[in-house]
Amino acid sequence: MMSDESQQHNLPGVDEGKASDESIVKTHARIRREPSNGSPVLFFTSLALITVLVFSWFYLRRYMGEKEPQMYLHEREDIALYRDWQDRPRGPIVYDYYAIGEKLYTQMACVGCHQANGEGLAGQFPALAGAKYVTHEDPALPTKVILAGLTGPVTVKGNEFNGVMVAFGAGMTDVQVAGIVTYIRKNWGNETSEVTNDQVAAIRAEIGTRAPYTAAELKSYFE
Amino acid sequence: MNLISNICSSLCSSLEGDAKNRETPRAIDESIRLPLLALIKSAAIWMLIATVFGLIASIKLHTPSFLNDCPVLTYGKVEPIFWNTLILGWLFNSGLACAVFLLGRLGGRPLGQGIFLTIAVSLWNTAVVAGVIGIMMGGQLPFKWLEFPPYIAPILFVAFLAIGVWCAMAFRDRANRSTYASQWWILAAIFSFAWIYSAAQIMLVCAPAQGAFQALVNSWYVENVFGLLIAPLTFATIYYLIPKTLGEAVVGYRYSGVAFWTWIFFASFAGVAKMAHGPIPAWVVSLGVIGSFGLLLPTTTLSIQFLSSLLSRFSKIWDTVSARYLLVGCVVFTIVMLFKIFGSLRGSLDVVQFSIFDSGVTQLALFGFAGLVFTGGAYFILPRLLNKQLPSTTLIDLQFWAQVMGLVLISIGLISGGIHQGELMNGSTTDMLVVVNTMRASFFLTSMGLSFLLVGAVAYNVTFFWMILSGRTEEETSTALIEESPELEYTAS
Repeated sequence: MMSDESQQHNLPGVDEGKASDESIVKTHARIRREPSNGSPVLFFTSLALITVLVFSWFYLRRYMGEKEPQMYLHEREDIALYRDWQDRPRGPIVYDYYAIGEKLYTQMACVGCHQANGEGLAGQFPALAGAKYVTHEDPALPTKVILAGLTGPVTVKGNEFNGVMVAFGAGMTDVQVAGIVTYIRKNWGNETSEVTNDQVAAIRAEIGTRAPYTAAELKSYFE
Repeated sequence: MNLISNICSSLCSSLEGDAKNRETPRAIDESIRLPLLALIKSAAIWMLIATVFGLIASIKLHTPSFLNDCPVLTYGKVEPIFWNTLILGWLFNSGLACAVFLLGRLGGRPLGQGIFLTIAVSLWNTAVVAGVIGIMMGGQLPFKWLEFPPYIAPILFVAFLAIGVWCAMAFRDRANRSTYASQWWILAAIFSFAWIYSAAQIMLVCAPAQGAFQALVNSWYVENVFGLLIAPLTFATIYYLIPKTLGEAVVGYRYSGVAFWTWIFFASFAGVAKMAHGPIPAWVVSLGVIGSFGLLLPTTTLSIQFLSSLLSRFSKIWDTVSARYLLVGCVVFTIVMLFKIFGSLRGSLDVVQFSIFDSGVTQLALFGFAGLVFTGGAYFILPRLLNKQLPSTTLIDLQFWAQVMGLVLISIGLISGGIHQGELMNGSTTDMLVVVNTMRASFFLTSMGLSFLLVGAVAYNVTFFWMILSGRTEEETSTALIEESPELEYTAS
């Protein structure tokens, strides 16, 4: 047996089995059962366990993130930046009504009838430049016309018109209406006060949803 | 005619010589010869295919005009084919070959239903072939490592279930009632793959999760393919081959249980760390990082167990083919795990997240750790299965050194190249074209490395088919080449 074995060892093409399968199972099972008195593996495993626990503790404290909505941020500086941005001092919002109105005047239907120079079309559409309905000292007058529309015969700058202006303002926001009113009241040589969105909101609430005005209804402004 | 009879004698060898001593091991090997040969054959062929596709994909990165006229070999198809054949082809087959052999040998009883396992394995490999063709036809899915067209997944899953059931039955039928660490790892691999594959398929393909959650599930799956399938099968092989080839109990075996459970626990959610800086809550990523870092614990235990067992017998290792593969595989394991653990921290991801670093670490883990250990296992199994010697040790030396060279080159190319790439890309003033041109050298190194691996794959195939096809020598026919192994001594540790 021994001589056979030493001969077999020299076979280059076969890896010798140096332990039988059954003994591998049994011996290792015994190693797990029997008490041991420490080994380098135990030492380094414990070291690794402590490292992992300490790391996890500090890492989770550091990077656990926040609740909505900044839960995607993990760096403290980023979270602080986000908080600062949220808590930034917020003053009242200041609108540039003239600029808003200038843009809307061409975007909406205004320019089609009243023209870019605010002169309207003779015999069809009244002018805005210098019109008393526009430049009236109370801005509520043009605001009401834009919000609810104007129909029937009307006299502007001495010319008679008989057409319909629909309630364009009904579909616009307060800021937009304020923008348009401000624009027509300050352009083409008109030099009257601007109107704010709060004023528009108040007027809108006051008149509610209604049929277009007639010149007769607005007569009270000129008495 | 001669060739056919050689194949027949490889498939069912009968010995006239005295083989009484090895009656049981021989009977066990006999009972699983057919599935084992099928597995090792498929593994060898898939290894060649995967390496070729990897090489093509790598060459395309530094020479984009290479094969650019061929519509089935665009980079977008070659790259997923490479990874899928590497994992589901080569590593799955070779890992399962080792697992089946271990289940039989450690169980101590011949295993039945070899034909059933062979059919399941053939079904699996057919599905992988169909999947590769599906990708070539353009039917691929956009999920990493799950690119096979949706109709492939059920076939793969059924084949895997059959394989898994066979393995579980083999474990149940064992004669040795005590269990060994190898068996735990094999069972863990079987059960976890059934879990992660079905979970990933359901959440990505059947009932797709929405938005960023898909990427989360995908990265979880990708990391778990390594952590819960490939690595456990590799550990099983290492645990078996160490006492088998060195004749010594595994150093510090008592702590295998700790290593096993902590690995399973931490590995199962380590992959999420890759989603750092993505649109998912910070605490999810943090848990992933903890999972990744927690792997330091089992890595420490396993590395010390393996390396001190192997290094204490260093002089014996170079005479033994499989132990040599084992040693390099274990060294690569330690290196890879350090890269994985420290590469998943947020600070490292700042640099390497969108670079080739991750691909490099994964290739090193798959080719270097799992690939080498499984190859060593196959070289241990084959002579026992066929009762033939390995035909040429020179060829095996060539394969070994080619693979080691290839791994060194790939590591330098992709891992250090990836760190460099990440640093360049982080410098926001750098021109993108400068980064690309700098990376050329790294990609070229990787191609060279993969060429070396290709040499290794060819050598492996030549060895395998030479062994199957050659006739038996006088000695091989008359006697059992394999002596009965001595008992493993118990030494108190």
